[in-house]
Amino acid sequence: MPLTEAAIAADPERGQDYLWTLNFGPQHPATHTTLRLVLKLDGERVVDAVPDIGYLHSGFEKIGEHLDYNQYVTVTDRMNYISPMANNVAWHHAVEKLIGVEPTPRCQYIRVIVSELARISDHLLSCGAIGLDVGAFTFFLYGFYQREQIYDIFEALCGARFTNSYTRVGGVLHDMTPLVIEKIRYPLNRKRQQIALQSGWIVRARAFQGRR
Amino acid sequence: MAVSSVASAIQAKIPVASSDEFRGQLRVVVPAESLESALRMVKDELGFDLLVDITCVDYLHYRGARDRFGLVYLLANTSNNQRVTLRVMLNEPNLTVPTAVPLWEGANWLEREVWDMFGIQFEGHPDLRRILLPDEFDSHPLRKDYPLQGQGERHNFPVLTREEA
Repeated sequence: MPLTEAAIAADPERGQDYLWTLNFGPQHPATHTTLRLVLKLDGERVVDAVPDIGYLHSGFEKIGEHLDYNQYVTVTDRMNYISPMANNVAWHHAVEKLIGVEPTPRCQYIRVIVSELARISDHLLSCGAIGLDVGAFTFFLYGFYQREQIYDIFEALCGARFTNSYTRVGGVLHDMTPLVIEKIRYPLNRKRQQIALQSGWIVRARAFQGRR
Repeated sequence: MAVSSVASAIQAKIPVASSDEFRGQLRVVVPAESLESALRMVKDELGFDLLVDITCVDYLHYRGARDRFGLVYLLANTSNNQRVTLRVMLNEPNLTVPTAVPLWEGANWLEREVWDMFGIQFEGHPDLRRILLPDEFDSHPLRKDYPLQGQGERHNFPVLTREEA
């Protein structure tokens, strides 16, 4: 399907007046990130769509050619900015498999704990964003409040809230302190109750029940 | 089925240049001319039904490497959870391989990415355009001889003025 103006002019379907070519994106609230679609419309029906995904290309592989294994962890944060901890762990897990290193059991436990915290915060945001798309803004904000508490844990753990860069080859940046352990225990006890309350807002909401 | 038995099953069916095991993962190098039949065989007869990824490695300046490019197919068998890495070694100027789109629809975008980044041509691909970079871009940036700072593409980009817009 044509993407440039010259190609659109030479398109054999151009004479068919009922077909519209519509450019959608690359920055549109409904696409969430920078996705561009060239749509072909028959009335309100989408007949054809050509996606153009290059607007978020960052050249991470090329950057990686010039960094060592510990430096590159900062890039893995940016690849998955919703749950960067889990991506740090995945990156160094791959590196350790490649060079044949097994981290200590304590390190493995710490990595599992931070990955699980990252998973919880990831799900809070992704479910919140689903709510946001159907207009449930309160649900999103309450989910983000829960997420903030997990950011606080990460801040106490490694000094960074968002782009953590916590793992290293064969280990992690800092050991867990008693403060971190206390910070993990306190919100976790309340989270299950809070998540049950919040899921009720969505599961029993008209916008979702009507779409079942 | 152990990794070694998968290796011998592949070797019995297709010509294999070399095969080895690294950290429990099987790597098979096939000659370029038998790539299409090799992919078809591992899919239809050995049950590697999932194409995980197609990617490429540039071995320029790599210690002990004899070939320039290694085109890598990562395949998985979804019924018994096995994985295999098929690799084809390519050298300039013969950077053309047959497409895998008839076997896996998902190969479409993966091959477009390899074309965009490494300049490997896929013969028979339905829509081999650049997937990430703009069409005006004339080099393949993940090749090792492409500089990290680029070749001035960003600075020489045509500026659209208000009169032209």
